[in-house]
Amino acid sequence: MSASGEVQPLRIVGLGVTYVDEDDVLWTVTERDADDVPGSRGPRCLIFASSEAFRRVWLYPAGWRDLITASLIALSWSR
Amino acid sequence: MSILGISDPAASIRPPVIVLDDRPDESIVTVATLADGGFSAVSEREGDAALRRARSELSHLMVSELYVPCAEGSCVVSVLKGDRRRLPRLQILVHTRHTAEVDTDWAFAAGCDALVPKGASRGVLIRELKRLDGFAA
Repeated sequence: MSASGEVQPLRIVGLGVTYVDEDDVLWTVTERDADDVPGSRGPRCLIFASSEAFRRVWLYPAGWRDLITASLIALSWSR
Repeated sequence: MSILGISDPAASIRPPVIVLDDRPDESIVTVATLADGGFSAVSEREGDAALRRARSELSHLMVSELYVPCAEGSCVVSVLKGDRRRLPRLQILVHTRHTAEVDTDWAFAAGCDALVPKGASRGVLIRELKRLDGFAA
């Protein structure tokens, strides 16, 4: 949120990653600035996005873009 | 919590999931879906009532529509997620009819932990809520 209290979109950091899960659902993963998010647990977070659901993940490795699909799927279930 | 194998009965008593939706017909569907998935749920239609209930019951899980205001701010989600002192475990899943990209961006900027559009299947809603339930325990 901004200093004025208005909600602003979270800035995307770097490139996103896409993968297809075991149910053939396409997911896009983007890293976002999260300093100003209410209840923030860190300076950045990952947002996993698909046509049916979106997940926020706070704890992830610096090299998350290099993870294999199975690891990205597992990461999407974590906090 | 368990200490030396002795379980604490209070720890097994979980507050119900709060379903916040300003549309009663949609709230009924959500509460029924959660019941089918094994969740006890209560519904609220107004932001202030949901705010009071979450704080009084120290809620762990909430399923909320987007853009529901309360006296403390323009969005209940952001107010509750910002209240980590009183609600450190609260996980909020936004379940919304507002499905444009700008709406999703808004929800995550407000602090939600997950989002499921209302067009998604009931199974997806339960699956995503169970994911958050694991974090709230």
